[in-house]
Amino acid sequence: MTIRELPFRERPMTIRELPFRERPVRELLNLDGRRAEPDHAYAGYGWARVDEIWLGEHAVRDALVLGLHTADDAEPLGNDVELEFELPNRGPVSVLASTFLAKWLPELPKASAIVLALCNPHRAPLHVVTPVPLYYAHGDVESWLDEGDGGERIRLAAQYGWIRRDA
Amino acid sequence: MISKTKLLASALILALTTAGVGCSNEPDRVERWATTENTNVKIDWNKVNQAYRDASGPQDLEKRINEIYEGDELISIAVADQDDKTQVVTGFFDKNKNGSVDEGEKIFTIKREPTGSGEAHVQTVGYGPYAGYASPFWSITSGMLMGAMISNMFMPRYVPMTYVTSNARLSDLGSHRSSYRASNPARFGKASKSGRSYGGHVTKPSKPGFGRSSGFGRSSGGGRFGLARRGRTVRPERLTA
Repeated sequence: MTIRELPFRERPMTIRELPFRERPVRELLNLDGRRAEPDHAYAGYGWARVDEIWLGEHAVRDALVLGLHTADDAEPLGNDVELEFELPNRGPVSVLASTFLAKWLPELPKASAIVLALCNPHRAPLHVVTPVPLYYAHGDVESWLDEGDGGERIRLAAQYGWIRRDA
Repeated sequence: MISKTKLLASALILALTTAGVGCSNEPDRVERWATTENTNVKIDWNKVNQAYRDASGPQDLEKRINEIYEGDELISIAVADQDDKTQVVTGFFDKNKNGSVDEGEKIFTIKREPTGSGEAHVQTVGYGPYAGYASPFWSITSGMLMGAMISNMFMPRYVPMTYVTSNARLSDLGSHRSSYRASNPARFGKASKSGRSYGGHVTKPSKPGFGRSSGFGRSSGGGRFGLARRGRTVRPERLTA
């Protein structure tokens, strides 16, 4: 039996085969509904281009936002974060963030900044080479939709702050 | 003699400290809400810490802190830098309006200490009615998105800062806060005397999160970008290619 003949859930998978797709930013960040608090069971992932996104009280313009997840029980890795992806019809898989970004970033649209919506519980410094500034968080990350007199804004809140790594 | 209220407050803080909430796996995470010994006016310490992280300078910080505080008093701040870039911000009720931190006026300190090249840590500690609160140390590095009040410490030409809220400034702060509260009726909808909670926080918040905006009208939660997986025995397959 060849690999192609194996049932999907048993076939080896490559990082580029992950269903990491473009999604409307509100869908990507789970902002379609109204919730008093962020949904801690949300496991969606993908990417979106946005004109503006707020990281705490700082606006980042023309950004490529990558929605990703790490598991609470992910081991500390020093300079990396273990990503986890839930997949249809098979168990979850993990990928190191550095490996994932090396494989996927060249395939994604260019923007003036890259923002990782990703919890980083061990506050790992990400030494990833990117052509534009990379923003990532320390601690947990939540998405929020703020509404005021001046309109709406999409905001990512980080438990211990945001890091900007310049290109 | 320790009052019952103080014992209760201490027990509450201890319980909240050990319980942990939601998504964090930080063993030392401290509940952000604390109640005073003699009053029910709460301070959201997470927001105070965030205010320090975002402030552009001392005047911006005192404005943010007075927006956070829900009691009648105005909070003054005193900022004192040391040569090694250690900074101590003291929040106090300037009861005698003399512009200095006198006995019984101090309510918190925020201390920033360098820990290495391009790194520092910060801790907030409560005093007086807020005694018993101490935040975990939180780290800052030179690449972080922060307001100028913190980030300036990483500039080569950093000039040590000294500041205290003046009597004239207290008047401005009072006017600003009145306007702020008037524009946030959902949170400040009911007049209050010192010692009582305001309308928006009579009941305990459903689940205090670190991400709720303090300055925007209304916020809806989206998602969290971590997965609850504690206790599992089988690790997911790791893709490498």
